[in-house]
Amino acid sequence: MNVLAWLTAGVAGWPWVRALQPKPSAPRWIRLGRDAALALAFGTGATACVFFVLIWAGLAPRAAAWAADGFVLAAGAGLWALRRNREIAVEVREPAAQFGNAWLPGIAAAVSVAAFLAALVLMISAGPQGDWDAWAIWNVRAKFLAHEGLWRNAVSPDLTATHPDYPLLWPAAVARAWSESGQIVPAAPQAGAFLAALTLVLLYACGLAARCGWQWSAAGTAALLMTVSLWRTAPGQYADVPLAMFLLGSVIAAAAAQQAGWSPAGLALSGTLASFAAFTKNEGLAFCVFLAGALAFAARQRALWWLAGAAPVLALTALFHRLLAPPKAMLSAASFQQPSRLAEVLKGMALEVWRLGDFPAHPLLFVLLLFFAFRPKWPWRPLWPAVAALLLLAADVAVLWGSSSDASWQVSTAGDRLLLHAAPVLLLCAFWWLARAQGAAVLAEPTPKPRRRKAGAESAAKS
Amino acid sequence: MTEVKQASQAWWQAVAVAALSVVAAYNAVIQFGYADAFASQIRDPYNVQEMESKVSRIADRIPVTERVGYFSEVPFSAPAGQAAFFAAQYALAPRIVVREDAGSAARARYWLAVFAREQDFAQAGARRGLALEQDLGGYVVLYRRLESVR
Repeated sequence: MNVLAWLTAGVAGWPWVRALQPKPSAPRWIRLGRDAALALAFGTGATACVFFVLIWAGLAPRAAAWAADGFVLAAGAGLWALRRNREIAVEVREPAAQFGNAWLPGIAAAVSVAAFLAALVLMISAGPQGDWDAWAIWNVRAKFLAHEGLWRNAVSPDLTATHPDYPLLWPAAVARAWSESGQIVPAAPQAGAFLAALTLVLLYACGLAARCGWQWSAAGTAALLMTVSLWRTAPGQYADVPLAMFLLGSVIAAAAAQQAGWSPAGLALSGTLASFAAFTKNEGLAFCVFLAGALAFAARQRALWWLAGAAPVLALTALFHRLLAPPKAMLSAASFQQPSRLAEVLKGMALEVWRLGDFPAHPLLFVLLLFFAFRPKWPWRPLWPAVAALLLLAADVAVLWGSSSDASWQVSTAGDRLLLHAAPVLLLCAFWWLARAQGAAVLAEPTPKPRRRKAGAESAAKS
Repeated sequence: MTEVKQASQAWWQAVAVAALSVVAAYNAVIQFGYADAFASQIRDPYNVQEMESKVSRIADRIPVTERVGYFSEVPFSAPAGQAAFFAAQYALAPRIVVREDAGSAARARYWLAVFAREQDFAQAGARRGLALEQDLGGYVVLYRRLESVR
């Protein structure tokens, strides 16, 4: 049950994704892969949030866990039933540039994914308790949440070094699995770490394939798996990989909504996924703000649908910070007055960018090489996800600069994970832009017959 | 001229994609090798499992609502000191573990101590008004406040 609980969360998320996600004009396997990845992300986030709300309301953890699953599944099924006969926005697929020897990145991606998953299993088995932050912060707080009547220990000011001010989505997700199984064993966080990493890679691969075809998906996935910090962090049971999963999911859902003429339902799905990131880590909250701003610029009034989707969990996050989290001064004015700290942070982050790959296998190096070869013309579209991700990195730098801790220590311990939050979104954008390069041969894949088409769907797509 | 330019660009594209593919596949094998070596050589680097197995023997004696005091001769500023403290907190959760310099430590009836070497553990506890309850081995000792022993 420690493993099954994560899959039941995915099952509970499935009807939500099917109800809200626009229908892609991509082959069926891509649609299924993307929907499955989005359902795992959505279900994990939604069940964890409802579980936490219910134990806050006074339910015992076991009852809260099952009630959360039931509520998310029933509400999703209800929404799907309501929207079943309505018109479904269809994503318009743009032609993608083509390159020769497409089987080569296909093999590279297959080898990379197989090696990554095998390494993940090996590392997770070797370190059942995960890496430092897993047992010092995330899983220890999950233990508090899983014990009846003791969940407030997770936000106790006595936990001075265990960050009781951090949001609780990931500990709640682990505690929910423990509560359903009735055993506090490492299998639950281990399975969660494995599935979060798998979902991240699947989301990325299918997000690229849905827009640009399998060749670009393969090349992009091979580049993503050059990111060394993903190999190191994924088995560590940290909340950083789930955070990256939510950020990527929100961008992919919003980009699909854009392809379908800024579909309101798709935007709401994106907003909900982004709000899960806000309740996972404070960096997720910052990304939420930046993505909301970028979408307000790109989608205008339609961005209100995004806000509507994000509102419930953003409200929960605000209540958590206002009512539960012990106050903690993250920033100090004295630190901001030291330009040497900024220089130290920038130097440290530059070093982390260099360490993002294991030279010559560096994702940035190969993106630059591909840009030189394909020369995608400006303006690169869509630009808004990259703007949000770059603003997140800028905010990370600002927080490291203004932090009261030693700057070089902070960058050396957290810099690689901060880059990991934004790297999948930035790489995804880079490959989306590359696939639209002019001058290369154009790949025209046959558009599959839509599963269900109602009057008005075409006009929605055209808009 | 345009055809030559296009052929040159297509050649560069093929080279770039081929280089990406070969390097990515090679890197994946290398990274798997690192993971395999790490997994076979390093087990429980911070002694978290070891702490859990020691504490599991006495956990039932400490009510889950208790604050458990903690002291160590390994300073908290050192990574080893932090690792020992967080491992103790992880092993004793859902009880909150508080260091002896924390205000709420004064109320703690049970105390866990981590030492760096063999010594007179009873005397180290007595200096803090604690009675040795059980030596858990590996320099980890459970104490009880003297008033609560009486």
